[in-house]
Amino acid sequence: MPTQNRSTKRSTLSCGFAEDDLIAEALGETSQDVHQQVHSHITTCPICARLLEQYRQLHTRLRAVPAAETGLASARRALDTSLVLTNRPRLLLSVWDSPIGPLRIGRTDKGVALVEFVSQDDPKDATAALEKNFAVEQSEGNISSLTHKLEAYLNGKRQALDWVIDDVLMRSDFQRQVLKAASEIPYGTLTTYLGLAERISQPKAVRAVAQALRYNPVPIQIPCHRIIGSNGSLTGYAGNRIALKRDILAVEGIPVVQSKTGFAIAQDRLYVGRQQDHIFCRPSCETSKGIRAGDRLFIASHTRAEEIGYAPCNICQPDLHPLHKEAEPSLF
Amino acid sequence: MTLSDQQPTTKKYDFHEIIDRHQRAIYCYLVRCTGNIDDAQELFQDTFLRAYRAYISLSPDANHQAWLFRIATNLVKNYIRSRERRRKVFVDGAAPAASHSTSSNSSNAEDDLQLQETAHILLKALQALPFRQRTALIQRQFEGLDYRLIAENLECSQDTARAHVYQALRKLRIRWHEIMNDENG
Repeated sequence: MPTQNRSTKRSTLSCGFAEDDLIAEALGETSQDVHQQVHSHITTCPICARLLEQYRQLHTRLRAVPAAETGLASARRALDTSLVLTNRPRLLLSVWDSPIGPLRIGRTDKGVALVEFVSQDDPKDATAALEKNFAVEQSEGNISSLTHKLEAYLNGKRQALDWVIDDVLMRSDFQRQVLKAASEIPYGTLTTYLGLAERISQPKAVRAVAQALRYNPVPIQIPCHRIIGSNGSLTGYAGNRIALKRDILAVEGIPVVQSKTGFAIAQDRLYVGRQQDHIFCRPSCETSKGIRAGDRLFIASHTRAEEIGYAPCNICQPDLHPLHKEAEPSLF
Repeated sequence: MTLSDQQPTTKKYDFHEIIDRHQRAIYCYLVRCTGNIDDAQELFQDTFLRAYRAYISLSPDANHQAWLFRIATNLVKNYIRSRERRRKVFVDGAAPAASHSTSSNSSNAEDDLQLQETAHILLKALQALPFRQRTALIQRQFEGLDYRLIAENLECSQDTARAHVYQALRKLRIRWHEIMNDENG
């Protein structure tokens, strides 16, 4: 008799033998005892012998079913894509109606990653491009802690936004280097593209510097507007928003004039600072000639020059002979 | 930011490494459980995405293969349930009754599989088994899991896990012989 004490419900065959024991035997899962019982039983019971043979065949056939790997490679590719998407950082987008027009402000968990002047033409495309790298959410959240500072800045009542920045949208280490150098140009002062290239010790990379500034992801906070062409023209800003550059510079007290080729700074109304020894001069002063671009700053006013620690030149004495009567600048 | 950057450094393996090690076993398991490639691919993706989210809280000494099989098995359970439901709606709605339990994609998928005739019959017969019997048998027969792991995956006792496997084999034997006799007669 086969063992009866193992499992609960056991179907027995007409001969009284447990079918489970035949299956276990076919799978090679029987104990020595049961193994012997099965073998002594099948010598006398042809039905069970045939059943056991069928289970053995079934087991063999099942084992011979090939592993189907067709489609694994494409499933893996899809999985990798999904994992990348799952890992996208969150980007919260808010639009704020600023005094200089609607601004799109994008924040990650780490800080402000994006400031964009909202264009009337392509408001949707702009966010679609971000979806690739971010889980983009339109945020109704309160961003007044950011906009209060920006508003104060645009009203000439604050010199720095002091926003916490996430540099995730910066495209390269080179761009980070350029934008870091741009951040060091003080409020109310200017340098040129060449000047900035010299500051990062890459005087031949003027065009690359201009490109890096063009794609500044957080304008205003990173003051790419303080960088101009070597001839004093404003060149470009956020695409073709050159008037915006003029307006922002006006906030910082930089006079801009309309020239034949477009907007340019009024060089005759700006002091020239020499960073090397922190001296500032009137633009007509001989001392101001021949200062290396990377060592030169245009400064909006003599009070501004003094605020950033520049001393008046002994020759042209800009403190005694100011270029113009200085008023509190405010555009808005 | 790459995936590996986000992995906790205390873990022994990068998650991609875990995928590399177990993707074949999990994928083949899913093909056998579903009988078609489209569904297997979908469940494959779901399995690893779910695993990825849970990986951070997984104990460092966990058996990854057993853990992945458990996740996959749960998804197969939901998948079979929703397929049963869909089929019911189909039949009730007087649409042409499906002649067999495999989904409408199966003919394409089966072409892709290029299985031998018997393998084909057996896989098809597997799809007719209830969830527990089906997954228990596949885990035992194809993936070589022992009853302790199968029991864990199906949240039952080892005896019950064994009973599921045996019951599945009983049904398969009968089905297989029906088909063989049809062909011979």
